[in-house]
Amino acid sequence: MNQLYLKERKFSTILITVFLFLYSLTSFGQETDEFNVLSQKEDAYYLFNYTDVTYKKNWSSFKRYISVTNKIVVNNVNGVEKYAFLNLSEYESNHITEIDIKTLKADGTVVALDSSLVFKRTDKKKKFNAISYPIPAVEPGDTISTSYVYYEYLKKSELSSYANLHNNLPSKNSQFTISTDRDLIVRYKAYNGFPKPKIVTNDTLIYLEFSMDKLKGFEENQYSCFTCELPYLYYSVDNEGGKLRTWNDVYNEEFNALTQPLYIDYNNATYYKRWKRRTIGEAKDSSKYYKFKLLFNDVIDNFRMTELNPREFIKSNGYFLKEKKFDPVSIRRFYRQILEDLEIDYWAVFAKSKRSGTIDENYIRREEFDHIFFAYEKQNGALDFLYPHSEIFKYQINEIPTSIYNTGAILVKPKDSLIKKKKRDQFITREFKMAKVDSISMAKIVLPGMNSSFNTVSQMVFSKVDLSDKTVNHKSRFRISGGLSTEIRNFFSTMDNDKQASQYYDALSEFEGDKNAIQIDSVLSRKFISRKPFSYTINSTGKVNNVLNFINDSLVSFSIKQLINHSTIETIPVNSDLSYYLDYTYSDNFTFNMEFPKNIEILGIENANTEFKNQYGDYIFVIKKLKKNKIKIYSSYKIKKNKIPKENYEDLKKLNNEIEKVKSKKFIIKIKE
Amino acid sequence: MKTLLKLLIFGIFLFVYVNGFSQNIDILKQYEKISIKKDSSFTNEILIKFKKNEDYRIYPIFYDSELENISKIMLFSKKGRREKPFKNVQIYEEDVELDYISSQKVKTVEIPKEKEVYLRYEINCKELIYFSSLPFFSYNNIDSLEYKIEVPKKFELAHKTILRDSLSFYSIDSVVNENASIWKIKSVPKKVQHDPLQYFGIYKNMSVPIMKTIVVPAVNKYEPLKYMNDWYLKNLNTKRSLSNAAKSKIDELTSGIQNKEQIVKIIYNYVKSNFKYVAIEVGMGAFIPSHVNEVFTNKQGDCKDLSNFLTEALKYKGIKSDVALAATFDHISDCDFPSLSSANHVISIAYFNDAEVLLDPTDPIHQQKTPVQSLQERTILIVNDNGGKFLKAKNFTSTQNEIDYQIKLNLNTEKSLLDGDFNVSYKGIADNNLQRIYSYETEKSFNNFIDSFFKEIFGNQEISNLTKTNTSHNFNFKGSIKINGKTFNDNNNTFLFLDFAPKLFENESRDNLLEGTYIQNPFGKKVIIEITLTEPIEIFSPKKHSFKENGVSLNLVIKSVTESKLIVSYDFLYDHIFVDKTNVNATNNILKSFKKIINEPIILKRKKI
Repeated sequence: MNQLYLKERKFSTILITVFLFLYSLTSFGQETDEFNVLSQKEDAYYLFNYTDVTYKKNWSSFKRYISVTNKIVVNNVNGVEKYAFLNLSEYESNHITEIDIKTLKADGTVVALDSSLVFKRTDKKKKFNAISYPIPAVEPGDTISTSYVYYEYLKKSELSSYANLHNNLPSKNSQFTISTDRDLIVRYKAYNGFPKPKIVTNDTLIYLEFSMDKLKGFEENQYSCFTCELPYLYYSVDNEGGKLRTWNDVYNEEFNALTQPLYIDYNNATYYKRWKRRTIGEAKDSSKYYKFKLLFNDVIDNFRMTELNPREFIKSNGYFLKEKKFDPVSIRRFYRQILEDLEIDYWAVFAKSKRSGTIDENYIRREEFDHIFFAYEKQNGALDFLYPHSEIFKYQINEIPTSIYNTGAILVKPKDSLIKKKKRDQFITREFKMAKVDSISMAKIVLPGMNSSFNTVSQMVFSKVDLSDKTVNHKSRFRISGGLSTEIRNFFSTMDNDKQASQYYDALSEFEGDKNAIQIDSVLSRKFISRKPFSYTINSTGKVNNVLNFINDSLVSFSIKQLINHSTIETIPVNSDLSYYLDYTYSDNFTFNMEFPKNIEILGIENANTEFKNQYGDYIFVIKKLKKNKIKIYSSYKIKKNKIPKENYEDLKKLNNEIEKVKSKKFIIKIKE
Repeated sequence: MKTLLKLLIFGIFLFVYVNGFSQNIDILKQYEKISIKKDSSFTNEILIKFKKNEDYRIYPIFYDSELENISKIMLFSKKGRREKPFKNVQIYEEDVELDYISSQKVKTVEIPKEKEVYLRYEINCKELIYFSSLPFFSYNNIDSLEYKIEVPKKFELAHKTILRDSLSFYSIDSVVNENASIWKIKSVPKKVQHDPLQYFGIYKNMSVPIMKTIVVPAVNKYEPLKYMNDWYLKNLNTKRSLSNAAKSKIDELTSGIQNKEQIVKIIYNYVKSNFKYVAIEVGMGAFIPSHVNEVFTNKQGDCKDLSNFLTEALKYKGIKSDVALAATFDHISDCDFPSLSSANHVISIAYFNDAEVLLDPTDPIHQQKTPVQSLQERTILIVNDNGGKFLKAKNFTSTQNEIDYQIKLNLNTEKSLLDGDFNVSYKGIADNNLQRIYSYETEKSFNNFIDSFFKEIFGNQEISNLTKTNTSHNFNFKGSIKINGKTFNDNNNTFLFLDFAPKLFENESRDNLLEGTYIQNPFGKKVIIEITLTEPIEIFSPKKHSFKENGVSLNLVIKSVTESKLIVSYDFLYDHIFVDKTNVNATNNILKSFKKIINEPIILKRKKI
């Protein structure tokens, strides 16, 4: 991390201007053929793309001006359709101070966008929505020149942000600059090779310029992670002499604010005690951990989760217990209250999703973490993780979102956490004062993430062929566990809660048709185990379709195209520009047994087995005849690494290709009398 | 996206927009009284009686803030005959968020719970032409719908109701008094549901019952078609007359060229390639194009803007041309009645070499003298100096849109491998889907796409060395293919599966097609697979399979030409644009038969030496 606490006041503004001018000359004077070739292949590219942010003090708060200046050369009709629009967010639209959009025609003429048309108000009281306004007169070969400035009022706690010079289009030169008044300081930290800045200071300002040339454009996909591999910057602005944020600050400001229970509506507050007593019942002499489990289970089994309702924001836990519901904030307050009430020592856990980059222990950024939850210590010193339920999904103890599997996390707790707290330190009372701790204990951990032995899908099918009816009936067991269980249960919970999404997926399913050979007619039993790895098992019966084709009484063709449906990591034919980042490794196993009423002979099973392994995955396919009338198929797909580097993308394609080859196989079954 | 004159069907679209995604409201009765004024404005007084409900409901009122004024919104209950207004009625106003800039707004009224509630409001509109439809369908549950229309003697109402048979009850009655004619229409509206399958190109219930209307002056017995034509032409004429700069550009593009067909091609391509599609539809701007010179300067516009400019540019070069109103394949009805609600699109039509050539400047892949994909079998209304005319847009036949597959393979039974080359060529507009993807994807993305596309067509076999040419806007693809695991031997026979044979519908992944599937255009597919065998076989008599039913046919032949050569060929003809209830069975029967054939092995008797 670099800290600019610059005392020198040597350079003048004129010098900065000269420097910028000279720099821009050198930057644009040299072009490589490689960039030219690259940029011409795209629909458009940036000649330059500058973002300049300026921080100023504004009474007790701060004001940030963001200036966006760029030129896009449009190569073709697609480029015109995609990029000849002025796109502003709702916030930007309502806080613009300057705007100048022009089309620089290839013939040298200039057509300006009349901004009064863009910002035409029909109602003075009404705010603008997000704007997507066509930029006039753009034809292939033209250049779009964009320049606008908007501002934001910021609190002291909001003086920080990220910057990334990459975009979906290639850019000859991209710059990000930060300038502040001289009485502010700038801290920054570069990640993944983000360039060092050119720094200029003078009597009135601090100026940092980060610049990169000839940048490739990147398209994000579901597996890519910009912050894992592309350069980016995090910076923060502070008053001169301002101190670095500590985990102690974070605990007080962000954990306490989110989790400290309220004690305002006294009537409801007492209900909490009654509920606790009733729920614990005869187990009052059991361990505090057992009591906690009872209370937790009651919430899981009998309470619903709802959206946050602002009118209920200051209600106590008793209120929510009475209403038999919680929202994402009240559930946190509730957990904290029962942990403290049962005197279970707990930590606040701050974690960051894998795709948002690595958590930084020292330079604690705003938006550094997107997950705040609990970890409590058991008698043996091990930690149990308690992730609060979301609006649509209830997490089990030790179940965490897959996006934070195997990521670094920070644990924080007050040094005096075991000392019994006074009520005013435990609750937010009518004085609306939050508790503050003076000193904390801190630990850095890697959150648990299950491997491919736990993250599994496994399906076992036992089927019998009826030659007279020409049907195949099955009994099967489908079991899913680990991260896959969390995700599937989360998905179905979303479907239950979101009618529109559910309708959409129903339509998608109808549109795609039934591609799975295993038709389930009735579910015999379901079983969910709430302990790790949270396995969910369904036993069912039904039919097997599109697998056997009865040619005549003695000949049957056997296709496995629709029988094997592994959850593969999708690949694209041309190699990916970015590495693939997966939340977890996993395995998907399928066992299929088919019994004929008569003896059989199978043609085509010689050399049909496959065993493919590379460093990223395995694929095994085995087909064999058992006894005289049975066929057994075993197909197993395993992903062994949760990162597939772009350089080795071919390995993933090879792995998937093996499945395609196997799915293409056909066999002939001769029925013997 | 193709251009849409969405405001033309404002009421209907917005009805779908909100109700399709929100609650169903139970309505006992909806009554609308439409009064045409002598000054060519009209008023619609609407009274809705809501059923009792346990929850609050949000009722949306959509309107165009430029064209319409909403007033006298009143929510009340009834005590006997006395109306008892609700106090503190919650009414919110929002812009309707659409993917184009428009003047459409929505007012939402909170309907109280646990009472029978009445909502009354009034809409005033100064443009009589805007009174263009009366819907007989709803996303809400409406027990009874009644329209009363008062037309002063100065005017006449012309109308056409579509899908009247789908209504359980419908009655229409009119009386004439000395001042006006009064129409009373009652119905039980059809309850329709939002169908998410439309996101995937399945248009199951596109057509809905609706009355298309137009009010014309009674003097001189003004024909509705002529009135609509003259009204639109008059408005178009105010937006014409090319500037010198535009003329000079057109001259520059066509310099030295005399051939009319060539001139049309140059100007048409210029507009398609250099003008971007943009819709800003505020008030009458939803119907009337921007001035041609504004369109030329800004190099942008929507269907009406670009078509009007194209028409003017062609006329300037001495080529007769008109603008035409049209309804695309996904519109609720055909453009066969002179009403604003009939159309959702505008195109240009050029006349040369004794032909009427349809031009759609918003369709980037359309080539002149080929059908406009979205308008096949649809009617267009040509707006001209002779009072206008309807014209049925033609489509290519299945033999004009041909897809030709030539596949040459060598069979290695020992390795259970078939490998060889394939050549695919498209004619007519059979490759429109590929051309469209090619037009908006980068080269790299398109290459990714076609690789997967052909892999799927050949049943996920290994494809390599794929190359393409795009001559005269028709694709030709060549590549190599390796097919594993489709052949094996027993003592006497070689078994060969054909399930790598190109599937019949290239753009559909389902084994059977759903009613409402948009096939895009009629097409024919000719496939010849020539297989050279390493071991001689006994020549067998050709195996023929032939199916023909309701515009769908398949002729498949498997024959041994020599002891070491096998030919599998099939001709598939599909003469429909949609899979609809008339052809869904025929379509799926043929798909089922084809699947059965390719899933049964051909048994080749090896020749004993």
